[in-house]
Amino acid sequence: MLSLQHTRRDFLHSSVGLAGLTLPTFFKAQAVSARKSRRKAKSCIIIYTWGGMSHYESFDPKPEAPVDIRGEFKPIKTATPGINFCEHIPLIAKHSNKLAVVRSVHHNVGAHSGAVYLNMTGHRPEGQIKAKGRKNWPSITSVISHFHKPIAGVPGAVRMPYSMYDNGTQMAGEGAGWLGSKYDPVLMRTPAGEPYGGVSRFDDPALNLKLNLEKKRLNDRLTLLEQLDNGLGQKLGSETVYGKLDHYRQMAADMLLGSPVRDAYDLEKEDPRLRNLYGDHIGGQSLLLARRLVEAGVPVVQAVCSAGDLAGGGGDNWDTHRNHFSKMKNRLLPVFDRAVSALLTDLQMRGMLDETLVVFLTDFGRTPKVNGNGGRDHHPGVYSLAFAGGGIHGGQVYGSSDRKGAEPGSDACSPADIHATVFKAMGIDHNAELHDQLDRPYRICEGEPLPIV
Amino acid sequence: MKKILPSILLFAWAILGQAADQAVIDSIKKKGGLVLQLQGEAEQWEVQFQLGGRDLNDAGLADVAKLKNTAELNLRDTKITSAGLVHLKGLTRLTRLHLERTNIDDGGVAHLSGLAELEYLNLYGTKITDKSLEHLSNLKNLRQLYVWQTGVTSEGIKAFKKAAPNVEVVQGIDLSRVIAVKKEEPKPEDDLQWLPEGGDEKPPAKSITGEFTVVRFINKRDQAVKLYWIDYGGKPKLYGVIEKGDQRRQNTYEDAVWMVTDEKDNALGYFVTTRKFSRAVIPK
Repeated sequence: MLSLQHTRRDFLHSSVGLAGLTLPTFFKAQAVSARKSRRKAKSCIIIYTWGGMSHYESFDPKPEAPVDIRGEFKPIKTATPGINFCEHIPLIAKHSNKLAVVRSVHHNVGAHSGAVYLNMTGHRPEGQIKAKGRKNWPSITSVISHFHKPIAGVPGAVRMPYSMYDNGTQMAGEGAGWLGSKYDPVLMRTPAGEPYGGVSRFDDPALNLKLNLEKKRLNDRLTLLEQLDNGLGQKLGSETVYGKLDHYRQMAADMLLGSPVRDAYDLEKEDPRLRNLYGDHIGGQSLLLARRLVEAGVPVVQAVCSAGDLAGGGGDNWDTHRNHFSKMKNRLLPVFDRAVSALLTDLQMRGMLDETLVVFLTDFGRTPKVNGNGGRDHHPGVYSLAFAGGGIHGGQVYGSSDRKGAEPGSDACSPADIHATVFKAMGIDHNAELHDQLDRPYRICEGEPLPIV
Repeated sequence: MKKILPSILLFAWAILGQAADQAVIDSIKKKGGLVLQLQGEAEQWEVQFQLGGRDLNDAGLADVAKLKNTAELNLRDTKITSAGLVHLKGLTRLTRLHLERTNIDDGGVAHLSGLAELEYLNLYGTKITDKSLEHLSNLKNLRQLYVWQTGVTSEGIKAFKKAAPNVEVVQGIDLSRVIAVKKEEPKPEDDLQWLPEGGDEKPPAKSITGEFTVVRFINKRDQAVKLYWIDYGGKPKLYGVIEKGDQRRQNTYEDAVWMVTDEKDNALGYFVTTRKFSRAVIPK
């Protein structure tokens, strides 16, 4: 049982309410809210750090904790007085005025499969959950696409660059579940950048628009559909789920025949200097593609910033049971730092940030104690997430973890509250009911929005 | 009757007005535009051309501007020019205007100086200069102004901020100053031990995992070889063929087992990786 009581000292240390906000930040937040309150985000980019990103080595460093807890890294100041991040995300730290960091998310699901489901759907896993199961709760991407309808030829939701797997088992929570196949996000393969080291699986039928871009003529609709069938149904033959879905083929065909999405997919059309800004890595190029898709009218895009399969903690994913510090410092954080800061810069200078909600999700945090292999293990007891853009008030921290980073110190909140916050920012009533294929009603969210929108 | 007449007239006027609006909305849709009613405000429209209506030109814009209650208008990537912006003069309820990546210049921006409700103006990727800022300095409600990739200078923004201190002017970054991350090619530090098939020293049955590393495989045999990674479950996974005399740079992890076979999949030998960047020489 978590103790939600906190000492006065904890309260003063947290940045919640007036106590923690420095005056200039407070007034700035006021000024902004007065003018912008009417606006709702039009699109959403979800950045998923698969495996469980350590809160210590990202948004919630604990320099005052004992050495076996605080770890090897130091905190650095951000652009917002009083808010410190880990020293290895120096570029993101410069964007703190755009970020609302939540340091008090917690749940009690310790396994990846349940935790990714909980963070992607906002609902606890019940019974046997299976990847692509039609009894699953829909992914947040599917729910958003239900309420934000795109124009013809533009998919309602896109996810990239591959599905999440744990040792060969595909995870549940990335699909539309009972909302029906119509709302399954379209899987796209990012066409560029150095891959994450380790194991990534491309078993799911992904839309490879590049193949088709390389064809000079796309006039012949029949040929095109054949290509699509080949591309989508490759391994699964006629049994493929997608093969049977006319709407999917129709949409894919529309997309290839001149929708803005087709152009967006072609990263070669982007200024090479801007591509460098994001970094020549699939992590950066995925976020660049996410921006281009949002620009082309896709309401919600999910990018997994990690290798696709956790593979027992091997590879470039956030499940850092071994050699945590060197992997974070050398492999994971540099790509993440460059990609995320580039995305925020890019959205801002194009005037897209106030209508684009950026959400950071992960499975859980990591244990306070560093284990015998120099790693940190799963820790759902408390972890950090963040928001930017889309009407979010930047330059603030909501909630806090305790002094060891083990439990919420103040304003404990749940993945469902995070989802409610996303819905509010997107102009979606978090108490809305949706109906499954048998017309049974479900309330989309059990949480309450955090006061950061 | 005298009392009712004005309300009847008002009603008729409202109906006619709505019908006129509907005609404009239909014509916008015909041009590939999108018309959305803004949430909670019955009389306000958001009009978008940036997705399906990029062929919109100045003549078309004249039609579009007949929808007087347009509060948000997106003309990004359309074919409008400075001359066409004269039609926006009547859209006095505009709060957000997207003109980015169009062919407009200072002459066009001059037509916007009467849009008193404007809060957001996006001009990035246009030909405007500091002169445009002068046309905008009396827009009391303006809060966000985007001028990335235009002729607007830092000096111009400084001067503008004196006249309009409440406007956040987003100049963006200079892309010519972006430095690409240089990837240093690691130098192999030592040679991995070759464990021949059937030899005394046996490799582990499967890979475990640790630090990221790189191995350069060098084939000194007279024939091509196949390279397999033994996965975490002990199964071989083909990574490629190395022709005779060729090399292959391979990303891997420490404590990974790599199996080398001939072209008929007969095992020849094994390497077990270390944390260091290494060479793996496949002997004759």
